[in-house]
Amino acid sequence: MRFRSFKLSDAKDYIVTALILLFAFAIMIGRHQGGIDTLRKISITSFSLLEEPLSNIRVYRQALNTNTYLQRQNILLQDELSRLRSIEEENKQLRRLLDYQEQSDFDLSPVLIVGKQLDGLNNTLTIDAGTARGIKEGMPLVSSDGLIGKIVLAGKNYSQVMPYYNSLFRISARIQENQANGIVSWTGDRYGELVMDFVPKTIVVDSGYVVETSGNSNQFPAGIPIGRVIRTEPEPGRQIQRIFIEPFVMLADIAEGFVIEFEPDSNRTNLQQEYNQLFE
Amino acid sequence: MSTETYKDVLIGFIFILAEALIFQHLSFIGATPDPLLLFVLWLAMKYDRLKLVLIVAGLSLVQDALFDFWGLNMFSKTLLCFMIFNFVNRRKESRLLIWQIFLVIFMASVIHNLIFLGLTSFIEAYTTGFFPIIFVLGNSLYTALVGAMLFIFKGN
Repeated sequence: MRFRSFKLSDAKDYIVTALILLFAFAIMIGRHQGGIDTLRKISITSFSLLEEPLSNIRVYRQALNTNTYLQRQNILLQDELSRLRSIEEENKQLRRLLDYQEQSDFDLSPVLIVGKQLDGLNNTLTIDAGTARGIKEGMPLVSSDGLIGKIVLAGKNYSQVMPYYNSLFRISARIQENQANGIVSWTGDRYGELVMDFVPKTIVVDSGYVVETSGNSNQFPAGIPIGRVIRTEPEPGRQIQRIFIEPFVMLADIAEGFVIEFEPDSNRTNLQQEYNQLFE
Repeated sequence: MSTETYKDVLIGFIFILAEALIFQHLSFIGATPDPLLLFVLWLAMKYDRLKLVLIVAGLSLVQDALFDFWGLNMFSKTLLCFMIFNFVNRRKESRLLIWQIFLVIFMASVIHNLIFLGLTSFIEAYTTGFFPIIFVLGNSLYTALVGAMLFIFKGN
Protein backbone atom coordinates (compact mmCIF):
# COMPACT_ATOMS: atom_id res chain seq x y z
CA MET A 1 0.00 0.00 0.00
CA ARG A 2 1.45 3.30 -1.14
CA PHE A 3 0.83 6.60 0.63
CA ARG A 4 1.20 9.79 -1.25
CA SER A 5 3.43 12.05 0.74
CA PHE A 6 2.17 15.60 1.32
CA LYS A 7 4.55 18.33 0.22
CA LEU A 8 4.05 21.97 1.00
CA SER A 9 5.16 22.90 -2.52
CA ASP A 10 2.18 21.04 -3.96
CA ALA A 11 -0.22 23.19 -1.99
CA LYS A 12 1.67 26.39 -2.67
CA ASP A 13 -0.76 27.50 -5.40
CA TYR A 14 -3.70 27.03 -3.13
CA ILE A 15 -2.11 28.78 -0.19
CA VAL A 16 -0.91 31.77 -2.20
CA THR A 17 -4.28 32.08 -3.93
CA ALA A 18 -6.07 31.87 -0.61
CA LEU A 19 -3.80 34.54 0.85
CA ILE A 20 -4.36 36.80 -2.14
CA LEU A 21 -8.12 36.32 -1.91
CA LEU A 22 -7.98 37.02 1.77
CA PHE A 23 -5.94 40.15 1.13
CA ALA A 24 -8.39 41.27 -1.54
CA PHE A 25 -11.27 40.66 0.80
CA ALA A 26 -9.53 42.65 3.51
CA ILE A 27 -9.05 45.57 1.14
CA MET A 28 -12.72 45.39 0.20
CA ILE A 29 -13.77 45.53 3.82
CA GLY A 30 -11.19 48.24 4.48
CA ARG A 31 -12.56 50.36 1.63
CA HIS A 32 -16.07 49.84 2.87
CA GLN A 33 -15.15 50.92 6.37
CA GLY A 34 -13.02 53.85 5.27
CA GLY A 35 -9.72 52.25 6.23
CA ILE A 36 -7.92 53.02 2.98
CA ASP A 37 -9.14 56.50 2.31
CA THR A 38 -5.62 57.87 1.91
CA LEU A 39 -4.86 55.27 -0.74
CA ARG A 40 -8.14 56.03 -2.43
CA LYS A 41 -7.31 59.74 -2.53
CA ILE A 42 -3.97 58.96 -4.15
CA SER A 43 -5.55 56.63 -6.69
CA ILE A 44 -8.30 59.10 -7.53
CA THR A 45 -5.71 61.85 -8.00
CA SER A 46 -3.62 59.59 -10.25
CA PHE A 47 -6.66 58.61 -12.27
CA SER A 48 -7.72 62.23 -12.62
CA LEU A 49 -4.28 63.15 -13.91
CA LEU A 50 -4.58 60.40 -16.50
CA GLU A 51 -8.09 61.40 -17.44
CA GLU A 52 -7.48 65.13 -17.66
CA PRO A 53 -6.03 65.21 -21.20
CA LEU A 54 -8.92 63.09 -22.42
CA SER A 55 -11.45 65.44 -20.92
CA ASN A 56 -10.68 67.89 -23.74
CA ILE A 57 -11.73 65.24 -26.23
CA ARG A 58 -14.93 64.67 -24.27
CA VAL A 59 -15.54 68.41 -24.17
CA TYR A 60 -15.06 68.54 -27.94
CA ARG A 61 -17.40 65.57 -28.43
CA GLN A 62 -19.95 67.17 -26.14
CA ALA A 63 -19.57 70.42 -28.03
CA LEU A 64 -20.37 68.60 -31.27
CA ASN A 65 -23.50 67.13 -29.72
CA THR A 66 -24.44 70.51 -28.29
CA ASN A 67 -23.84 72.05 -31.68
CA THR A 68 -26.20 69.58 -33.36
CA TYR A 69 -28.81 70.19 -30.67
CA LEU A 70 -28.49 73.96 -31.01
CA GLN A 71 -28.74 73.77 -34.79
CA ARG A 72 -31.96 71.80 -34.45
CA GLN A 73 -33.26 74.32 -31.91
CA ASN A 74 -32.22 77.14 -34.22
CA ILE A 75 -34.25 75.70 -37.09
CA LEU A 76 -37.28 75.28 -34.84
CA LEU A 77 -36.92 78.84 -33.55
CA GLN A 78 -36.51 80.18 -37.08
CA ASP A 79 -39.67 78.38 -38.04
CA GLU A 80 -41.48 79.82 -35.03
CA LEU A 81 -40.12 83.30 -35.74
CA SER A 82 -41.26 83.05 -39.34
CA ARG A 83 -44.76 82.05 -38.23
CA LEU A 84 -44.85 84.90 -35.69
CA ARG A 85 -43.79 87.39 -38.36
CA SER A 86 -46.49 86.08 -40.63
CA ILE A 87 -49.05 86.41 -37.82
CA GLU A 88 -47.80 89.91 -37.01
CA GLU A 89 -48.19 90.92 -40.65
CA GLU A 90 -51.65 89.41 -40.78
CA ASN A 91 -52.51 91.22 -37.56
CA LYS A 92 -51.37 94.56 -38.99
CA GLN A 93 -53.35 93.95 -42.13
CA LEU A 94 -56.48 93.05 -40.17
CA ARG A 95 -56.06 96.16 -38.02
CA ARG A 96 -55.76 98.30 -41.15
CA LEU A 97 -58.88 96.67 -42.53
CA LEU A 98 -60.74 97.31 -39.29
CA ASP A 99 -59.69 100.97 -39.34
CA TYR A 100 -60.72 101.22 -42.97
CA GLN A 101 -64.10 99.67 -42.22
CA GLU A 102 -64.72 102.19 -39.45
CA GLN A 103 -63.64 105.18 -41.51
CA SER A 104 -65.28 104.24 -44.79
CA ASP A 105 -68.64 105.69 -45.82
CA PHE A 106 -69.49 102.59 -47.85
CA ASP A 107 -71.25 99.47 -46.67
CA LEU A 108 -68.42 96.99 -46.49
CA SER A 109 -68.59 93.23 -46.33
CA PRO A 110 -65.35 91.61 -45.11
CA VAL A 111 -64.20 88.65 -47.18
CA LEU A 112 -61.31 86.24 -47.34
CA ILE A 113 -59.50 85.68 -50.60
CA VAL A 114 -59.53 81.92 -50.81
CA GLY A 115 -58.16 81.48 -54.30
CA LYS A 116 -55.73 83.35 -56.55
CA GLN A 117 -54.92 82.75 -60.17
CA LEU A 118 -52.35 85.31 -61.19
CA ASP A 119 -50.33 83.43 -63.73
CA GLY A 120 -51.88 84.45 -67.03
CA LEU A 121 -53.82 87.06 -68.91
CA ASN A 122 -57.10 85.85 -67.45
CA ASN A 123 -56.20 86.46 -63.84
CA THR A 124 -58.92 85.88 -61.25
CA LEU A 125 -59.44 85.82 -57.50
CA THR A 126 -61.99 83.85 -55.50
CA ILE A 127 -63.56 85.16 -52.31
CA ASP A 128 -65.50 83.32 -49.61
CA ALA A 129 -68.71 85.29 -49.94
CA GLY A 130 -71.55 85.05 -52.42
CA THR A 131 -75.18 85.86 -52.96
CA ALA A 132 -76.01 84.39 -49.55
CA ARG A 133 -74.22 87.39 -48.04
CA GLY A 134 -75.66 89.92 -50.45
CA ILE A 135 -72.77 89.94 -52.88
CA LYS A 136 -73.74 90.81 -56.43
CA GLU A 137 -71.93 90.93 -59.73
CA GLY A 138 -70.28 94.25 -60.47
CA MET A 139 -69.51 95.12 -56.83
CA PRO A 140 -65.96 96.32 -56.23
CA LEU A 141 -63.49 94.48 -54.04
CA VAL A 142 -61.13 96.71 -52.09
CA SER A 143 -58.56 96.57 -49.36
CA SER A 144 -57.50 99.29 -46.95
CA ASP A 145 -54.90 100.36 -49.55
CA GLY A 146 -57.23 100.62 -52.51
CA LEU A 147 -59.01 98.87 -55.33
CA ILE A 148 -58.50 95.17 -56.00
CA GLY A 149 -61.07 94.34 -58.66
CA LYS A 150 -64.74 93.68 -59.23
CA ILE A 151 -67.07 90.75 -58.79
CA VAL A 152 -67.73 89.09 -62.13
CA LEU A 153 -69.45 85.93 -60.97
CA ALA A 154 -71.41 85.52 -57.75
CA GLY A 155 -72.24 82.06 -56.48
CA LYS A 156 -74.15 81.27 -53.31
CA ASN A 157 -71.11 81.12 -51.03
CA TYR A 158 -68.19 82.05 -53.27
CA SER A 159 -67.61 84.70 -55.86
CA GLN A 160 -65.10 85.21 -58.60
CA VAL A 161 -63.32 88.53 -58.83
CA MET A 162 -61.69 90.09 -61.84
CA PRO A 163 -58.63 91.91 -60.42
CA TYR A 164 -57.11 94.94 -62.05
CA TYR A 165 -54.42 92.62 -63.44
CA ASN A 166 -56.80 91.33 -66.09
CA SER A 167 -56.69 92.42 -69.69
CA LEU A 168 -60.50 92.79 -69.70
CA PHE A 169 -60.55 95.06 -66.66
CA ARG A 170 -61.58 98.66 -67.34
CA ILE A 171 -62.46 101.36 -64.86
CA SER A 172 -63.33 105.00 -65.08
CA ALA A 173 -60.74 106.93 -63.08
CA ARG A 174 -59.56 110.41 -62.29
CA ILE A 175 -56.41 112.03 -61.09
CA GLN A 176 -56.93 113.33 -57.59
CA GLU A 177 -54.76 116.44 -58.02
CA ASN A 178 -56.37 117.83 -61.19
CA GLN A 179 -59.57 115.78 -61.58
CA ALA A 180 -58.53 114.69 -65.09
CA ASN A 181 -60.60 111.70 -66.20
CA GLY A 182 -59.51 108.62 -68.07
CA ILE A 183 -59.85 104.86 -68.31
CA VAL A 184 -57.54 102.62 -66.32
CA SER A 185 -56.65 99.17 -67.63
CA TRP A 186 -53.87 96.59 -67.66
CA THR A 187 -51.94 96.01 -70.86
CA GLY A 188 -50.92 92.51 -69.88
CA ASP A 189 -47.27 93.30 -70.54
CA ARG A 190 -46.01 93.45 -67.00
CA TYR A 191 -47.14 93.22 -63.43
CA GLY A 192 -46.81 96.24 -61.18
CA GLU A 193 -48.04 98.69 -63.78
CA LEU A 194 -51.46 99.88 -64.97
CA VAL A 195 -52.17 102.43 -67.68
CA MET A 196 -54.59 105.33 -67.78
CA ASP A 197 -55.68 106.44 -71.23
CA PHE A 198 -57.64 109.30 -72.73
CA VAL A 199 -56.13 112.08 -70.59
CA PRO A 200 -55.43 115.11 -72.80
CA LYS A 201 -51.82 116.09 -73.35
CA THR A 202 -52.64 119.59 -72.21
CA ILE A 203 -53.19 118.40 -68.66
CA VAL A 204 -50.00 118.30 -66.68
CA VAL A 205 -49.53 115.04 -64.85
CA ASP A 206 -46.55 114.49 -62.59
CA SER A 207 -45.28 111.33 -61.03
CA GLY A 208 -46.67 110.80 -57.56
CA TYR A 209 -50.15 111.95 -58.42
CA VAL A 210 -52.86 109.70 -57.00
CA VAL A 211 -55.36 108.03 -59.30
CA GLU A 212 -58.76 107.03 -57.93
CA THR A 213 -62.12 105.88 -59.22
CA SER A 214 -64.19 108.69 -60.69
CA GLY A 215 -67.66 107.25 -60.26
CA ASN A 216 -68.62 108.47 -63.75
CA SER A 217 -69.34 105.00 -65.04
CA ASN A 218 -71.96 104.40 -62.33
CA GLN A 219 -70.24 101.02 -61.78
CA PHE A 220 -67.94 101.91 -58.87
CA PRO A 221 -68.33 104.59 -56.22
CA ALA A 222 -66.01 107.55 -56.58
CA GLY A 223 -62.87 108.00 -54.50
CA ILE A 224 -61.46 104.48 -54.28
CA PRO A 225 -57.66 104.81 -54.57
CA ILE A 226 -56.16 102.85 -57.47
CA GLY A 227 -52.51 103.81 -57.62
CA ARG A 228 -49.82 106.41 -58.01
CA VAL A 229 -48.54 107.88 -61.27
CA ILE A 230 -45.03 106.75 -62.09
CA ARG A 231 -44.56 108.27 -65.58
CA THR A 232 -46.40 109.60 -68.62
CA GLU A 233 -45.92 109.10 -72.35
CA PRO A 234 -47.57 111.19 -75.10
CA GLU A 235 -49.52 109.11 -77.64
CA PRO A 236 -47.96 109.76 -81.05
CA GLY A 237 -50.36 111.39 -83.53
CA ARG A 238 -53.08 111.88 -80.90
CA GLN A 239 -53.90 114.65 -78.45
CA ILE A 240 -53.87 112.38 -75.47
CA GLN A 241 -51.21 110.93 -73.24
CA ARG A 242 -50.75 107.51 -71.63
CA ILE A 243 -50.21 107.58 -67.88
CA PHE A 244 -48.52 104.67 -66.13
CA ILE A 245 -49.69 103.87 -62.63
CA GLU A 246 -48.23 101.78 -59.86
CA PRO A 247 -51.21 100.19 -58.04
CA PHE A 248 -51.47 100.63 -54.29
CA VAL A 249 -52.58 97.08 -53.65
CA MET A 250 -50.12 94.24 -54.22
CA LEU A 251 -52.27 91.38 -55.41
CA ALA A 252 -49.65 88.79 -54.54
CA ASP A 253 -49.75 89.78 -50.84
CA ILE A 254 -53.41 90.30 -50.09
CA ALA A 255 -55.41 87.72 -48.19
CA GLU A 256 -58.43 89.69 -47.04
CA GLY A 257 -60.55 92.47 -48.40
CA PHE A 258 -63.95 94.14 -48.41
CA VAL A 259 -66.69 93.99 -50.95
CA ILE A 260 -68.30 97.41 -51.26
CA GLU A 261 -72.01 96.80 -51.36
CA PHE A 262 -72.51 99.37 -54.05
CA GLU A 263 -75.31 99.23 -56.57
CA PRO A 264 -75.47 101.52 -59.60
CA ASP A 265 -77.94 104.41 -59.35
CA SER A 266 -81.07 103.18 -61.20
CA ASN A 267 -82.00 106.72 -62.29
CA ARG A 268 -78.67 107.15 -64.00
CA THR A 269 -78.91 103.69 -65.54
CA ASN A 270 -82.40 104.39 -66.91
CA LEU A 271 -81.31 107.77 -68.22
CA GLN A 272 -78.37 106.16 -69.99
CA GLN A 273 -80.64 103.55 -71.55
CA GLU A 274 -83.04 106.24 -72.77
CA TYR A 275 -80.18 108.20 -74.24
CA ASN A 276 -78.89 105.13 -76.06
CA GLN A 277 -82.37 104.45 -77.47
CA LEU A 278 -82.41 107.88 -79.10
CA PHE A 279 -79.63 106.80 -81.44
CA GLU A 280 -80.88 103.28 -82.19
CA MET B 1 11.38 37.54 -12.26
CA SER B 2 12.54 37.24 -15.85
CA THR B 3 12.60 39.99 -18.45
CA GLU B 4 9.69 38.27 -20.16
CA THR B 5 7.64 38.56 -16.97
CA TYR B 6 8.49 42.27 -16.62
CA LYS B 7 7.47 42.76 -20.21
CA ASP B 8 4.17 41.03 -19.63
CA VAL B 9 3.50 43.08 -16.49
CA LEU B 10 4.22 46.22 -18.49
CA ILE B 11 1.81 45.09 -21.21
CA GLY B 12 -0.72 44.43 -18.43
CA PHE B 13 -0.34 48.04 -17.29
CA ILE B 14 -0.93 49.17 -20.85
CA PHE B 15 -4.13 47.13 -20.95
CA ILE B 16 -5.27 48.75 -17.69
CA LEU B 17 -4.46 52.21 -19.03
CA ALA B 18 -6.28 51.36 -22.25
CA GLU B 19 -9.33 50.47 -20.22
CA ALA B 20 -9.10 53.62 -18.13
CA LEU B 21 -8.45 55.99 -20.98
CA ILE B 22 -10.28 54.44 -23.92
CA PHE B 23 -12.52 51.45 -23.34
CA GLN B 24 -14.49 52.83 -20.41
CA HIS B 25 -15.58 55.67 -22.69
CA LEU B 26 -16.72 53.30 -25.41
CA SER B 27 -19.73 52.04 -23.51
CA PHE B 28 -22.57 50.50 -25.46
CA ILE B 29 -25.95 50.52 -23.69
CA GLY B 30 -24.04 50.77 -20.45
CA ALA B 31 -21.70 47.83 -21.13
CA THR B 32 -17.93 48.24 -21.25
CA PRO B 33 -15.25 45.67 -22.10
CA ASP B 34 -12.59 44.45 -19.68
CA PRO B 35 -9.35 44.29 -21.66
CA LEU B 36 -7.33 43.16 -18.63
CA LEU B 37 -9.42 40.00 -18.53
CA LEU B 38 -8.38 39.22 -22.10
CA PHE B 39 -4.76 39.71 -21.18
CA VAL B 40 -5.16 37.54 -18.10
CA LEU B 41 -6.64 34.72 -20.19
CA TRP B 42 -3.71 34.99 -22.56
CA LEU B 43 -1.28 34.90 -19.61
CA ALA B 44 -2.95 31.69 -18.41
CA MET B 45 -1.56 29.93 -21.46
CA LYS B 46 1.94 31.19 -20.76
CA TYR B 47 2.68 30.86 -17.05
CA ASP B 48 2.27 28.25 -14.35
CA ARG B 49 -0.57 28.73 -11.94
CA LEU B 50 1.38 30.30 -9.08
CA LYS B 51 3.09 32.86 -11.24
CA LEU B 52 -0.14 33.58 -13.06
CA VAL B 53 -2.03 34.14 -9.82
CA LEU B 54 0.66 36.52 -8.53
CA ILE B 55 0.86 38.57 -11.74
CA VAL B 56 -2.92 38.74 -12.05
CA ALA B 57 -3.32 39.78 -8.41
CA GLY B 58 -0.81 42.61 -8.88
CA LEU B 59 -2.30 43.85 -12.11
CA SER B 60 -5.88 43.65 -10.89
CA LEU B 61 -4.92 45.53 -7.72
CA VAL B 62 -3.68 48.36 -9.95
CA GLN B 63 -6.95 48.15 -11.89
CA ASP B 64 -8.89 48.32 -8.62
CA ALA B 65 -6.88 51.32 -7.49
CA LEU B 66 -7.55 53.20 -10.71
CA PHE B 67 -11.28 52.47 -10.72
CA ASP B 68 -11.74 52.69 -6.94
CA PHE B 69 -12.95 49.10 -6.70
CA TRP B 70 -10.34 48.10 -4.14
CA GLY B 71 -10.16 44.32 -3.98
CA LEU B 72 -13.10 43.44 -6.20
CA ASN B 73 -11.16 42.85 -9.43
CA MET B 74 -8.28 41.40 -7.48
CA PHE B 75 -10.54 38.84 -5.86
CA SER B 76 -12.61 37.95 -8.93
CA LYS B 77 -9.71 37.80 -11.40
CA THR B 78 -7.48 35.82 -9.08
CA LEU B 79 -10.26 33.36 -8.33
CA LEU B 80 -11.13 33.10 -12.02
CA CYS B 81 -7.53 32.39 -12.97
CA PHE B 82 -7.23 29.80 -10.27
CA MET B 83 -10.40 28.05 -11.44
CA ILE B 84 -9.91 28.09 -15.20
CA PHE B 85 -6.14 27.62 -15.25
CA ASN B 86 -6.34 23.88 -15.94
CA PHE B 87 -9.00 24.34 -18.63
CA VAL B 88 -7.01 26.98 -20.49
CA ASN B 89 -3.69 25.30 -19.97
CA ARG B 90 -4.90 22.01 -21.46
CA ARG B 91 -5.94 23.78 -24.67
CA LYS B 92 -2.91 25.98 -25.15
CA GLU B 93 -1.44 23.68 -27.80
CA SER B 94 -4.64 23.35 -29.81
CA ARG B 95 -5.55 25.98 -32.33
CA LEU B 96 -8.98 27.39 -31.51
CA LEU B 97 -11.47 28.75 -34.00
CA ILE B 98 -12.81 32.27 -33.69
CA TRP B 99 -16.18 31.20 -32.28
CA GLN B 100 -14.41 28.99 -29.73
CA ILE B 101 -12.25 31.93 -28.67
CA PHE B 102 -15.37 34.05 -28.40
CA LEU B 103 -17.14 31.40 -26.33
CA VAL B 104 -14.19 30.84 -23.98
CA ILE B 105 -13.77 34.56 -23.35
CA PHE B 106 -17.51 35.01 -22.93
CA MET B 107 -17.79 32.17 -20.39
CA ALA B 108 -14.72 33.37 -18.48
CA SER B 109 -16.09 36.89 -18.46
CA VAL B 110 -19.50 35.72 -17.24
CA ILE B 111 -17.86 33.81 -14.37
CA HIS B 112 -15.68 36.81 -13.54
CA ASN B 113 -18.62 39.21 -13.62
CA LEU B 114 -20.77 36.90 -11.52
CA ILE B 115 -18.06 36.70 -8.86
CA PHE B 116 -17.66 40.47 -9.09
CA LEU B 117 -21.40 41.02 -8.80
CA GLY B 118 -21.70 38.58 -5.93
CA LEU B 119 -18.98 40.42 -4.06
CA THR B 120 -20.52 43.83 -4.67
CA SER B 121 -23.84 42.52 -3.38
CA PHE B 122 -22.07 41.10 -0.35
CA ILE B 123 -20.11 44.26 0.37
CA GLU B 124 -23.16 46.43 -0.40
CA ALA B 125 -20.99 49.33 -1.38
CA TYR B 126 -21.34 49.35 -5.17
CA THR B 127 -24.68 47.72 -5.95
CA THR B 128 -26.48 50.94 -6.77
CA GLY B 129 -24.19 51.64 -9.70
CA PHE B 130 -24.78 48.40 -11.60
CA PHE B 131 -27.56 47.05 -13.71
CA PRO B 132 -26.94 43.30 -13.19
CA ILE B 133 -28.00 41.88 -16.58
CA ILE B 134 -26.09 44.52 -18.53
CA PHE B 135 -23.12 44.10 -16.26
CA VAL B 136 -22.98 40.30 -16.51
CA LEU B 137 -24.13 39.67 -20.08
CA GLY B 138 -23.43 43.02 -21.74
CA ASN B 139 -19.92 43.39 -20.41
CA SER B 140 -19.17 39.74 -21.17
CA LEU B 141 -20.40 39.96 -24.75
CA TYR B 142 -18.51 43.22 -25.29
CA THR B 143 -15.32 41.74 -23.80
CA ALA B 144 -15.70 38.58 -25.90
CA LEU B 145 -16.23 40.70 -29.00
CA VAL B 146 -13.11 42.75 -28.34
CA GLY B 147 -11.19 39.54 -27.63
CA ALA B 148 -12.39 37.96 -30.87
CA MET B 149 -11.32 41.06 -32.77
CA LEU B 150 -7.92 41.01 -31.11
CA PHE B 151 -7.65 37.36 -32.06
CA ILE B 152 -8.42 38.19 -35.69
CA PHE B 153 -5.82 40.95 -35.81
CA LYS B 154 -3.15 39.42 -33.62
CA GLY B 155 -3.70 35.65 -33.94
CA ASN B 156 -2.98 33.26 -31.08
